[in-house]
Amino acid sequence: MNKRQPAPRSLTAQLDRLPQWPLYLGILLLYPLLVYPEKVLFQWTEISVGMQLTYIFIYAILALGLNVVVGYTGILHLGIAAFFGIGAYITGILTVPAYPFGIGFVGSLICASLGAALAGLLLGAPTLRLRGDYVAIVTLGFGEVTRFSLRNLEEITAGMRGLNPIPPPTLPAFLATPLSWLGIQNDWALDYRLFYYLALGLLLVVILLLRNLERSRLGRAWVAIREDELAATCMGINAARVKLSAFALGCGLAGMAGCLYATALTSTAGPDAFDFSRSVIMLCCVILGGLGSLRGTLLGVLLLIGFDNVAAPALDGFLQRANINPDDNPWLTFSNWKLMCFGLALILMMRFRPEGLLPSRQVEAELHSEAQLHREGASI
Amino acid sequence: MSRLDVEKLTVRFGGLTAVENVDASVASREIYSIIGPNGAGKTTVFNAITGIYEPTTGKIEFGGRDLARPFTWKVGLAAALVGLATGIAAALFAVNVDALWRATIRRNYAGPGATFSPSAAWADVGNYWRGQLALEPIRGGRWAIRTADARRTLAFAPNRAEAEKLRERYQELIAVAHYERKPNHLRSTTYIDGLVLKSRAGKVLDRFDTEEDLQLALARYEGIYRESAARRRNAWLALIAGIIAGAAGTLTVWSRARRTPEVIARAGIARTFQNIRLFRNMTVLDNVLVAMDRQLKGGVVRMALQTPGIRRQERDACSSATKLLDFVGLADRRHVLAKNLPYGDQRRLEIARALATQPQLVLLDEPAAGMNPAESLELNTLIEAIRGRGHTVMLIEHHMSVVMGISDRIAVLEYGRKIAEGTPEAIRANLKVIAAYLGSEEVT
Amino acid sequence: MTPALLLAQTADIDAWQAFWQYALIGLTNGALIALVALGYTMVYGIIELINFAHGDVFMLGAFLALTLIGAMGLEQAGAVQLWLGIGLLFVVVPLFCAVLNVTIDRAVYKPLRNAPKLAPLVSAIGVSFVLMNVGLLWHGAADKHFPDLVSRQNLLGENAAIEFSYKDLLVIGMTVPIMIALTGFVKGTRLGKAMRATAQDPVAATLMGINADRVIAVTFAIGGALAGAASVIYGLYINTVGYQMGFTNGLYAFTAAVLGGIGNIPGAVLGGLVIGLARSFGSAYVGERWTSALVFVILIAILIFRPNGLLGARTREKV
Repeated sequence: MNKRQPAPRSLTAQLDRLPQWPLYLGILLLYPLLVYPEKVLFQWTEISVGMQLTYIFIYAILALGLNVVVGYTGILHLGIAAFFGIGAYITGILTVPAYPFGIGFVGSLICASLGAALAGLLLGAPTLRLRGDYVAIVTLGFGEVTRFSLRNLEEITAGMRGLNPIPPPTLPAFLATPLSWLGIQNDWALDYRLFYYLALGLLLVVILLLRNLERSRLGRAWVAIREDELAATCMGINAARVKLSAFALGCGLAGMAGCLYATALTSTAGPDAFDFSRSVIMLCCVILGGLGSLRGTLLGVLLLIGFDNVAAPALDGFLQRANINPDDNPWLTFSNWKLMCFGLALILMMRFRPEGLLPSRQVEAELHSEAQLHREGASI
Repeated sequence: MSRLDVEKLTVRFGGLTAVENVDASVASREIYSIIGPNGAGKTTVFNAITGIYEPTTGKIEFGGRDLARPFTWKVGLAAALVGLATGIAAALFAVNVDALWRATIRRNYAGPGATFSPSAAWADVGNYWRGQLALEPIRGGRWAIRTADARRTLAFAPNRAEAEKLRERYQELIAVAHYERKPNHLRSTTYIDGLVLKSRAGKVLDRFDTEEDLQLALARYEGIYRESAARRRNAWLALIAGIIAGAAGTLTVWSRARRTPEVIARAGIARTFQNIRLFRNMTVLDNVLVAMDRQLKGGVVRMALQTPGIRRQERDACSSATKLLDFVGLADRRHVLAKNLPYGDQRRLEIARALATQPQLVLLDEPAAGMNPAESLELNTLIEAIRGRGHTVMLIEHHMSVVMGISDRIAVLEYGRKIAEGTPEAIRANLKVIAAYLGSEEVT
Repeated sequence: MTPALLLAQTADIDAWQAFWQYALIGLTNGALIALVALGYTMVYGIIELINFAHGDVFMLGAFLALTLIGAMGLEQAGAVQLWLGIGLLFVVVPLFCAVLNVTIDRAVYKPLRNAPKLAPLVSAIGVSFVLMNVGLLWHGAADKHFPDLVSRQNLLGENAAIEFSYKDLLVIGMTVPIMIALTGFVKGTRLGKAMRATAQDPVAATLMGINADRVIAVTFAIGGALAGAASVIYGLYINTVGYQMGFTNGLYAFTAAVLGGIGNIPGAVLGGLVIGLARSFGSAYVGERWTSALVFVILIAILIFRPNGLLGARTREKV
């Protein structure tokens, strides 16, 4: 092959080419340690932004799981919330003091991930061979069935109340002293930062593993199936098995996120926390950011969950304090417009930027290679 | 030796017959072409060979064997296991998993600090199944005697010992009621003495004021017995139905996936498509690497961790893919997205992708479509070179320069039937073929 | 008669009586589900889109009916006015839903006609959310009572073994003729023929001079009108409406369409009836709270054995 000489670049262009993730990671790592920004933000919004960031990390794991299924493999999964819920409830059953298991955080994390992945396998094995639209409806139906089951099995799941209290993880003894140097208290209920770092750490691990998978044989097979399932099978790819692996992995990550969610909340929340709108919001995150793109999914979660958990309640708080809405008119409460915002976001994205805000490597490469083609065309 | 044998292949779609009674036998390292007017069923033959369509009748053998997945003990085992799992799930639902949880976990665990004995819980599974009455602590240190599923409360007792005694009494009452309420049963004097219910040992269990009260009580206890019996019956039914449904479902899904394209591809038949079907948003190199999937090893965990072995394997795969791309003349384009390649290059990439599966037989569906004469001449050399690498080639083509130039044998299809087969010279001279292509009035 | 004896009798005789009663309820509900399912299946048949917003069009129809009833004061009206009013509802609401459905198609789905399949599907979910929000702002988050305008009086006599009221008559009397008319339209008229042609092969149909856009608009209009009619019937029959009813009923209706073989009109009706019966028998013999789970178990079971639904034809990918 012929190597072209790279064009000389200006310094700013070179700076642009530096990877940006260390900067973002640095900010996320430092934010809780600098106590001041959290205080200021809290005074502004009356919301603990650090705590909400923890939830954003958790939802990011959930969205990354969904991205494996929808983004890479192209299976429209409309019931991811069910697997999130399964993870949360497995954690609840295995850790709450009302039950004799009490296996603690690490054990429950593993069980929740494996349990949700198993549920995904059981659902996917018979149904993933169906037509795409049918899979969508089957996953949607499964989501509803799970929600109703969680509600109906009152002896096990405590019905609408949810299982609680879920005990916090125990910190390994050798970490207690270094953490105290950083000013972090060893109390999960009082100091959000322990869980913040735990969730961030797990998120980083998940990102790393998914990056590796994305570049492996399996990741290629996922994308090939999304691009053209028939051609992929004609090349010897076992489509049923590859799709099932994506499905199980996505559901397993959702279960893991569910475990973290329940532990952070110290309760499984009620079954209705895992309804269809939760699934759609996660789908919105993946689509907004860019299907099949890790960075895009993270951005999507930051924007949408940030909006949902921080901006919307903060705005509602403002409206309330400004006393614009004294007689509680539903038209003037911001949260009553939430569905509309998500709906419009989906419609507009599909219409004007279907590839998402930060499109995936493939789409990016496409823009790049088109430019390259033009250059080649010019040189001929 | 013949590589591929197609015998009396017929493919029908509803009432339409696309291919009828076609025979073809392709020898090893041969270039075998299928020609014929559009709609003659050429691509359908390819689709039948590669498992995209199921032949309505006829046989396709590759290297002397049928490629459909055979029924092995593994399939049987999988069906049995899925059936068993479905059956157990259905049975759990039928016995009311919620109540079972209460009977085994909740009743055996008082709360934080209390001990929990798995063996006691397991014993309670049996008690629940048999419909044994259960004791539950309630407020004030008192105890309730309830049915196994806790839907009915029979009595209360001030302490555990008293409760145990009461439970025994009610258990006997239920047994007596079940005995006495058998259809066409003559009232026994062992258990009923006037208005008194007795145990077999003669102990007084309950007294009544009127006959009506006694009958009502018997009906009530019998009801409890029946409920637990119904639960057992439903559980058995659900278990059996679940086993049948699960196993039948597994076998149905399996039978539908017996001769899928992937089975064929893995056996050594690769193909290209008439309407190019590349993975458009993947790079040229990735397109080829996807096709090499079968040759790569390593489980999910090793891929997720990118172990050195996996990385080495990946590097090797990349270099052999590059060699293959070099073979078709696309090596310097390997980082371009497939959809941005010019048309002719896309066709050649499809060929490289097909070769990457290391097939014995390559099916090329109109590889020269849309190519200019110079390009199709290049294609001739490429196809010859493919044969030179040891592959057998089967070709659908309209460009006569390609077909006549390189084919060893040619089959002509018209309206789904084979009308001629032979060497290029023989085909060129065949009157039927000329008639089919040019139209003739004297066709018989 | 002693209570014990009464118990014995009910056990023997009422089992069958109850069975037929449940069957009747199931068929009535099933007819209603089928009416909504038709909208899904027709749209899918033509543009291969799961129109998620369909259920919410149905919901808004019911909300409009509720508002109109309040505005016309139908609850206090006399018999003649009442029937005129209900007749008016059956004109205005389907018209509104048809216009709404066509507008959604024009504004949202039409620009995406040539986009990958995921795009219109996701947009449809978006539209569904927007409409749900409209419903939420219109009548609030809590379920509302829909006036009980049709009598519950048993048509088979006060003490008849099976209950069949004016309400059941309304459902059957409206849905069956609508379905027959629809079948006649699709089979008999030029436009219906154009619809079937477009469903089979949109490109070929366009080449034959069929205006595909018009056919699609008509399909959406008919689907919307059916949903509108269904929403009025639903309100009068069930008497409770809420902003989430579009989602739950849409889900059942869509399941019915899939069960029957999506794109297939008789299939949607059959699927609706199967689901109606499954729900009715399920709530009677398995337990009310497990009915939705039962419906989806049935769906999955049927799809495993018949991957294209009960009446669906095998689709073959063009290679």
